[in-house]
Amino acid sequence: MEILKAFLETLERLWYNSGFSQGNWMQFAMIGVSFILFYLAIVKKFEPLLLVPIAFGMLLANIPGAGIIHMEFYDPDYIKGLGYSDGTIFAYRELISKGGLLDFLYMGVKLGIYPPLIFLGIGAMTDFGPMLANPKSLLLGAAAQVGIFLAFFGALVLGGFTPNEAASIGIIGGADGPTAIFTTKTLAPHLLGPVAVAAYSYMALVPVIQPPIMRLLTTKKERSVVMDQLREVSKTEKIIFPIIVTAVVSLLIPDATPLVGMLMLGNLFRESGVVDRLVKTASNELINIVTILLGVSVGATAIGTTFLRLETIKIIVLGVVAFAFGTAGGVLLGKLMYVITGGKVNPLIGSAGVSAVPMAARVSQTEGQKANPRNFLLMHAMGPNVAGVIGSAIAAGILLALLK
Amino acid sequence: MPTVMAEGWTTQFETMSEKLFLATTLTIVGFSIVFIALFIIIICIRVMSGSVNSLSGRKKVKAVNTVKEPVLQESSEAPNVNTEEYDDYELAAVITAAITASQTSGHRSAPYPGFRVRSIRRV
Repeated sequence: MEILKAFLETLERLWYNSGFSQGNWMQFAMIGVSFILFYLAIVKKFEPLLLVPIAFGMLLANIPGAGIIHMEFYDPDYIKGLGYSDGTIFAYRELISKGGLLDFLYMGVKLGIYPPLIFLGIGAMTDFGPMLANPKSLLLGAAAQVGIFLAFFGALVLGGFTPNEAASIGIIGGADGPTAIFTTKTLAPHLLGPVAVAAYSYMALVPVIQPPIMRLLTTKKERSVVMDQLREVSKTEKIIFPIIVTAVVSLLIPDATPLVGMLMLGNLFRESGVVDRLVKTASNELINIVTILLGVSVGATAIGTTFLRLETIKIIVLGVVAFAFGTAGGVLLGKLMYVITGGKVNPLIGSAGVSAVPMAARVSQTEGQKANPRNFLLMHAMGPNVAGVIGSAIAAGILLALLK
Repeated sequence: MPTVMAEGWTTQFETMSEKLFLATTLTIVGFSIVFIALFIIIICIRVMSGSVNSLSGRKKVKAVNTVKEPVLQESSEAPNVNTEEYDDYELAAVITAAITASQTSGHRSAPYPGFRVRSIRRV
C-alpha cells in the first residue's frame, strides 16, 4: 500500500512539474502558432532559413515551466523596480545569475549585433554592378520606401499605435528582415515577435503580393518594354562604391551606419578581391550562424502576452499595406521613368525596389516575360533591388534618428 | 508649439489632429530624406564613374600611342549590322537569366552571382 501511495505521489509530483499542468491557454496557443509557422516554413517553403529557427524559438519560449527566456529582464518597469539607474537597458545582474541560453542569445538582438552581421554577409554576396551601371535605379529603390512611411502614417493615425510602434510596423514595408528587427529592437522591443514574423512572412509572399499590383498599375505595352543591355562596370568603380556610400550615408544619417556600414564592408571584401577567405566566411559560415542565433532569439520573444493581442492582427494587416504601397511606389516611379525616357524603362523593375533580394527582381523578370517572352529584366531589376536594401537601411536610420 | 529637440518629443502630440500633423510631417520629411540621400549617392556614382572611366580612357589612349598597332584594313563590305548582334544580346540575356535564376533560387540571402556573359562560342 505504501509503495502504491509513493508511486502515485511521484506521478502527482511529475504532473505538477510538467508543462501540461503549469501552462495557460496563451502558451498552448503560441505553441499552436509555432506549429503553423513550421508548416509554412517546411511544407510551403516560406523563408525557411529564418522561419524554422523563429518557429523553434517560439516553441521553446512558450513551453510552460521551462523558463528558457526571461523577457522581464528587458522590461523598463521591471528594471526600474530593481533599482537600476535610468538608461539601463537590461537587468544585467539578474541575467548573469538567472539567465539561460536564450537570454544570452537575445543580447545579440537587444544590442543590435545580429542584423548588421547579417548585412555583412549580404554585402559579401551582393553585386552592385547593375545599380552602378544604371544609377537611376536608386530612385526606384527610394520610391519603393513610400510603403514604410505610409504604413507608419496609417499605424499612427488609424491604428492607435505610438509613433515608435508605428515606425516599427512601417519598416515591414522595407521587406528587409534584419532592418525591421534592428529598428524594432530599439523603438518598440515588445513588438519584435509580431514584426519579425510579419516581415519574413511577407518577404516569402513577394511572388503572391506583388504581381497583381504590378499588373494593375501597368499596361501590357509598358510591361513588354525590352531594356537596353547594361554597360560593363569596372572593378575600380565597384571597389570605390562601398567606401563612398559608407562615408556619405554615415555622415548624413549616422543611425544608419551599423547597417549600411556592415553591408558595404561585406561588399568591399567581395570587390577588393584580396580577402577571399573573409568573403567566404562572411557569405557562408558567419551569416548562417548569425541567422540561427537571430531566428531563435527573435522567435523566443513571441510570448503569448505580447503576441496574442489585437495589435498583432493590426500589425499583420498594416504590414501587407506597407508592402503593397512600397510595390506600387516603385512601379509608379517606373512608369514616370517610362514616360520621361520615351519608353526605354520597363516600369516592372520598379517593384524590385522593395528590397527582398533577389526574389523581388525575379518577380519583375517573370512578369516581364509573361508580357513579352523575349523580355529579360532580371539584371535590370537587380539595380532597384539592391538599391532597396540601401534605401530601407536609410529609412530605418531616419526613423531611429527622429524617434529613439 | 511642440519642441522637436526635446527627449521623447513625440509624446507632446496627444489629440487626433496633433497626431495627424505629426504623422504627415514625419512621412514627408522621412520620405524626402530617403530620396535626397539616394540622389546624393547617384551624383557620387556619376562623378566616380566619370572619373574612373576618363582615367582608364587616358591610359588606353597612352597605350595606343606607345604601341604601334597593325592598321586594320577597311572592309568594302557593308557592316553586318543589328540582326545577329541583337540575337546575340538576347541569347546572352537568356543565358545570364537562366544561370542567375538557378544560382539564386531558394531564399532571401541566396548569393547573387554578379557575372556577365561576354561571349558565346558555338561548338
